[in-house]
Order: sequence, then C-alpha cells, then structure tokens
Amino acid sequence: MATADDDFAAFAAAETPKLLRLAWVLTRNEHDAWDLVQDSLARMGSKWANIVNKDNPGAYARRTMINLNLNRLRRIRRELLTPSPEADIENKAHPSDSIEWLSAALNSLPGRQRAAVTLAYLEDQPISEIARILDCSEGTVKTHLSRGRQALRAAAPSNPARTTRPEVRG
Amino acid sequence: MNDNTDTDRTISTAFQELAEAGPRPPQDAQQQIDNRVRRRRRNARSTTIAVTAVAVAAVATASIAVLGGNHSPSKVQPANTSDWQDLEGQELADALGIVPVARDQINDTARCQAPQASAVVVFDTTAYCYNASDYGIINPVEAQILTYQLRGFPRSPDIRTLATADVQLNDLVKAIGKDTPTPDQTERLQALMATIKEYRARAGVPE
Repeated sequence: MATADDDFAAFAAAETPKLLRLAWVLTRNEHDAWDLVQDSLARMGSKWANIVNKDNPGAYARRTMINLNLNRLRRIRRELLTPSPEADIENKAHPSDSIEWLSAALNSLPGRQRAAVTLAYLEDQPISEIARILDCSEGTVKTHLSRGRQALRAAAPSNPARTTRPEVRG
Repeated sequence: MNDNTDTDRTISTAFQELAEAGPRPPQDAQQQIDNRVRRRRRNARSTTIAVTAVAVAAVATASIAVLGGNHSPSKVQPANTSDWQDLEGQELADALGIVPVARDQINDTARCQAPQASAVVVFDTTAYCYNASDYGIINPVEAQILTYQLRGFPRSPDIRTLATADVQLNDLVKAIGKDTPTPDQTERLQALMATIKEYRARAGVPE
C-alpha cells in the first residue's frame, strides 16, 4: 500500500518539470526558479496529508510558488539597491531575440499580472483556475490578464505600433 | 482583431520558447526535495519543542519568583527559533558547519552575534555567519559583514566591505573544512569568487 510519502513523491516527480517551467518564466533565473520549486514542494510535502485531502495539489503548488515569488520580488526590491548584474536570461539562457522582448516585457509587469499572464499563456489555465491559484476573484484575474496582455501586445515584435521595448524593472 | 490574434500567437510562441530555454530539473531533484521536506519537518518539531521548553521555563521561573518572594526571575534569552524558519541551502550550511540565518535577519543577527560571527555571507539565497577568526576568511576589523548574493548585488553599504575583504577561493574552500567540496559546491564557490572579483574591480581594488 502506498504511503503518504510515496504519494507525495509521485506528485512531486510529475509536477516538478511543469513547476520549474513556470518558475523559470516567472523569474528567468535558473537558481531562483529551482529554489522556488523546491521551496514550494518542501512546504507541501511537510503537510501533505492536509493538502491532498482538501485541495487540488497542483493548484496549491502553483499558488504557493507564486506567493513565494511575490515575496522574493518584494525582498529583491528592498535589498538590491545597486544596479543588477546581467540576468541569466540575458547572459546565456536564450540567444533568441524573439523571446528577449518577452523577458523584458514580463519584467515590466507587476508580480500578480506577470503570474496571471504566465498561467494563461504558458499553462493554458482557464480564468477560474487562475483565480483559484491567485486566490482572487475571476473579475480580478480578467483585469490582470487584460492589462498584462495589453502590455505584452505592445511589446510584441509583430505589433506594428511597437516602437520601443518596455522599460525593465524589478 | 486579426492583428491581436496574430500578436497573441506570437506571444504564446514566445512563452513556449522562453520555457524551452529554461533549465531542466537536476538528476537528484527528488532527493533534494525530500531532503528539504525532512528538514522542514525536523525544524517544525524543533520549534515545537523549543516553544514548549520556553513556555515551561517561563512558567517555572514565574512560579519560583512568586514562591520565592524577593527573588527576581533570571533573564532568559531563548533562541529566536522563528529566525530559523524557511532557511534555504541547509545542506551547505551543515557541510560548512556554520550558522545559517534568514536573509532578512542578516544585519541584526550579525550585530547580536558579533564578534562571534564576524562575517555573514549570503550564499545563493541563504546567509551564513562565519566566525572569521576560525576560518580566516576576512579581516574581522575591516569587514564585519560580508554579504553576497549569487546573482544580485549586495546591499550598497556592504559593497565596500566586500571589495576590501581579502577573500580568496582557497579561503572559501577552507571554510568547508573537513572534506573536499563537492563539484557543485566548488562550482558555486567559483561563481562566488567571480562575483567578488567583479565587485572588487568595480570598487577599484587591485588584484
């Protein structure tokens, strides 16, 4: 008979690659991304019996990770008083111009907007699920998505109105 | 409308490309996660025990004070176990035999532990207190606090400290002490050194 630990191990094994993709797009830094994944799963694993019985563990993992990332962004804002070095994404991760603009555009979005558009575009999550993950109303998610999309569209290379890349922050 | 559809398609494609450019889980991903789960459980148990012990001690002290009349309760300074929550990189801290502290607590901890912990290094996302006199990592007078973030920059007041600290890779390896560092640790230490050199160069400190 499978124990709770086995159950969690199976969940973690199945979710880790997906969570890492999400974390990577949210952070664009492989160390931070892996750390977010580990931290989220560690938090879940330590109270797995409670989570598995009353929640959708996948949504719970994403919610935990997004909240941890928001905390991380707040911390960075507070701590990094000096100019940031080149991010991993700009150093080595992708040589492609086609995603450089996206990285810059995502940086320009507030944390929850960034999470909402990432869940929508990357994971194809419906609005109801994004609302559940972000722990907010569907109306709020629609607002996040609308504003986020607007910013991404403005930055997208195929947009004829695009003139400059968005300012990078955070 | 069509423009938006095309643009949305471009955005979706870019998201997929960005995700593809990302890292893959390490080989020992499951092991690393299991370790952290165990550590959190252990920390949770320790916290419960510590809180219980402090509560018992407080009740006992208060009882003695009441029963003893003029005896004032002794000043007990229990460890603030909440500072120890949510630590990351514990394995490395264990390997180093040093005291990890939550990053938010760096300066306070450094102050309250000084001079025992005369240097604090933020390694990856975890801060480590070093006893400089033990490890000889930095000049404890010049550098009370050494902060480092693997990719980010230290808080501005610490750049000078970092730049003036005579940190060498060997010193960091020595800090690991007992055993040869693992390839992963060596890689991270080398990354640390590279950044320290960058800080020094920026601060105009000669090689």
